Amino acid sequence: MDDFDQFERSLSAALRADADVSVTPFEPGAIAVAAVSGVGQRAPRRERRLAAGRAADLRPVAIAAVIGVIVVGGAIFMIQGIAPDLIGRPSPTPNADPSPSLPGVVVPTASDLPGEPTSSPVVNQTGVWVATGSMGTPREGHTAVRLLDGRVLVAGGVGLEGDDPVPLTSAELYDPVTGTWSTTGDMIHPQGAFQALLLPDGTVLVGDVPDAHADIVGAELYDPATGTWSRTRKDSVVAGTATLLANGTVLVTGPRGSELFDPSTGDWTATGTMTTPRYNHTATLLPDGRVLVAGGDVNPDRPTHSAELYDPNTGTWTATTSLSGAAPSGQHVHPVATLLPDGTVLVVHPSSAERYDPGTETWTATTEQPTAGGGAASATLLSDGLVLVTLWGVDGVPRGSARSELYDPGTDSWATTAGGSEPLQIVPATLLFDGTVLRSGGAECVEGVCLMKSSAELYVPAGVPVPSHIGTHPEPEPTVFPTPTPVPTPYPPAAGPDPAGGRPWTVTVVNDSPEPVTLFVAEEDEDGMSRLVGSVTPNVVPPETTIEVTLLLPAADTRGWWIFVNPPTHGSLLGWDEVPRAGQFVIQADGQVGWLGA
Amino acid sequence: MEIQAGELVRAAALGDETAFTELVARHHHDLLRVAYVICRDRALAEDSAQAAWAIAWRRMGDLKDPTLIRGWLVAVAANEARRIMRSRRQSIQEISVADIELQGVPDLRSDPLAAGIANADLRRVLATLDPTDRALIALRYVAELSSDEIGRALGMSPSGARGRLSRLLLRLRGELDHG
Repeated sequence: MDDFDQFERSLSAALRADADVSVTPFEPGAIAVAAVSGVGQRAPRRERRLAAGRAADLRPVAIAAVIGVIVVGGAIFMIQGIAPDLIGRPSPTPNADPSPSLPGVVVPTASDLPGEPTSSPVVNQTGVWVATGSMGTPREGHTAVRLLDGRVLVAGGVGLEGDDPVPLTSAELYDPVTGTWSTTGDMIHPQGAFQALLLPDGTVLVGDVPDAHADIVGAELYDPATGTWSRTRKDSVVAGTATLLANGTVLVTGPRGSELFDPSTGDWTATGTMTTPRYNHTATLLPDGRVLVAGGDVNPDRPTHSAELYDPNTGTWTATTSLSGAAPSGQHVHPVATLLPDGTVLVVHPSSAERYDPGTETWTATTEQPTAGGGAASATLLSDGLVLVTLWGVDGVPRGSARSELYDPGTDSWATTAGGSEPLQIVPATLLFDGTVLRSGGAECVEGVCLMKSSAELYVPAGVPVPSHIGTHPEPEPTVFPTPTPVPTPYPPAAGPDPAGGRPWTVTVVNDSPEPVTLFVAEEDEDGMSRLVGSVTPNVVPPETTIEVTLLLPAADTRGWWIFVNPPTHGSLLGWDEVPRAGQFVIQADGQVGWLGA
Repeated sequence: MEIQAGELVRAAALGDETAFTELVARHHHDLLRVAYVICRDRALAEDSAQAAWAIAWRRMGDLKDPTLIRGWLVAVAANEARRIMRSRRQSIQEISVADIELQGVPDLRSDPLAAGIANADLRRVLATLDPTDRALIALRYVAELSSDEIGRALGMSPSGARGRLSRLLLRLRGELDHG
């Protein structure tokens, strides 16, 4: 065995061992039942049984591959699948129409609005979502923070450049007085290492990512007075959550450690590392100055329920009682948290909501949420003491009809709110000085195709006057999902050469699709380039037509050529060792290509 | 006496859930392994494998040669894993932590052959590959499919699959083979 063989064997063993670390015991019966019930199947596509009087002899592997190619090649936008465990759930009920009031008029309570009734007998004064001005740039995954002057800075996120998702460096400011947006200076690098944090001097600290493919994260400061960004002195900092401590420093903590940023000096210094390094966790400043970190992921395979406390006096972490709820498997959801007026911390994660008492270091589950099982995008303490929890879907699919909920810490009760759009990604929610909550951007998905949004909306709590600018903005442009561009034919239609010793083969082609298909006989080298080595006459079959074509195949002793059928880019249908044979080429109405053997 | 694969496949194709469950018991581990190499995430691998079984239940009757069931199943799982990976947008933060050396995960490898490649190095290098390259690696070195089978599974010609695998292996050897 030579060195290369030895490397291949080592690679094989290492890959298996690496995969096996993550494999947990499974119950075949449960998996089988789920599969039989359709759990795990994709968003339904039109499938047509071949009307050939017998079971289709279509190669399922080729079909699976072709579907993948068509989806990727034919749909130029991001595709999101359906979460496997959502099959069979009832369709979401339509949103209640918000009833925007005249400016200055108190918003009617949810009981006056059509649509979803509140579910709690106690929390019955819910507010409503209303549209406000749209951002200049559609984005999702951005960060938002309220400035000292009441405006909201939105920065970074992901947008679309043509058809490709791209990280953004652009930033915008929302004026709550006019409900309009204006551009401000671009970040130096895309935002991402940690969320924006308002510092006592009015500047904003944001984590950035100079190189998405390298292991470098950094930080920038935004100066609202000049609208400009500057990088902090240290080129590389940890990524994670950023929390302003009582002493004015900022604790950033994540899987790679913890650091303190001192705005007065611009210096970063290392501090104690979490007992369980993690990301996607919550970090909440407690009244006694400590920071509670809860939940998150230790690595992509391992969520954690643990919690710990950071003491800024000693710079050390101490484990505390773990969350009692568990994140369901198969979901990547981030818990959200907020400090409540009584000093407890509310943490909301998909399976439950709990409150942490720093005095007793215990967690207590709240009453059941109306939409338990959904993901929470944000938890915002309102000026009336209620907590607004905005919801999102998992893997792009909402888990119910409500878009947000209200929690009353005083009565430990929940209610759904009326109205609101359906951002299916996590978007920030920012409390404004007038008591409303701003939410912006996100993504709108239709049949698995998602486009970023620029629209924004305000949650107006019951009893809070509707801002005077509401109703003065143009309606957001409806999201238009363009028809996917057909995959261009990679090779021009050509009959092809007549090969020496060519063998004629006449075969039926059934094209039930709405597009013409091209057949050709070609070799393919390792770089995927084709060279025609046989001919097909006619080599283009019109839509919804069944005809016979005659192929001239290379000599029987030749190898390494295939018969290709457009639109698969480099997929072959039959290889040199499989033809001639009795049967038909079949292109189904939805474009699936197969061979129906006789 | 162990039931032959062909009998199980034929029975499952006719709607025999017991036979289908036996197929799951025999092959789910392989599907998980292949999907994990592609997804680099246990939950996504489980989703991919589950989706593959749903397809398998619906299309079992399309499998002409029941003895090829294993290759067919892992190919379906690989394509589901690729589809899931294409559909997921990774936030910048997720990308930046994906390469982080994992902490606290014990090395449970018992195969001495695996010791020749450091776990952290393997994960780091796999994270830099796109899902199709990972699928090639998974189908060849975990599922041990032939180039022809891999080509058909991924919609490539066998020569295309061989060429791409060859280049991948050279790269992996350069980055992983320190022995």
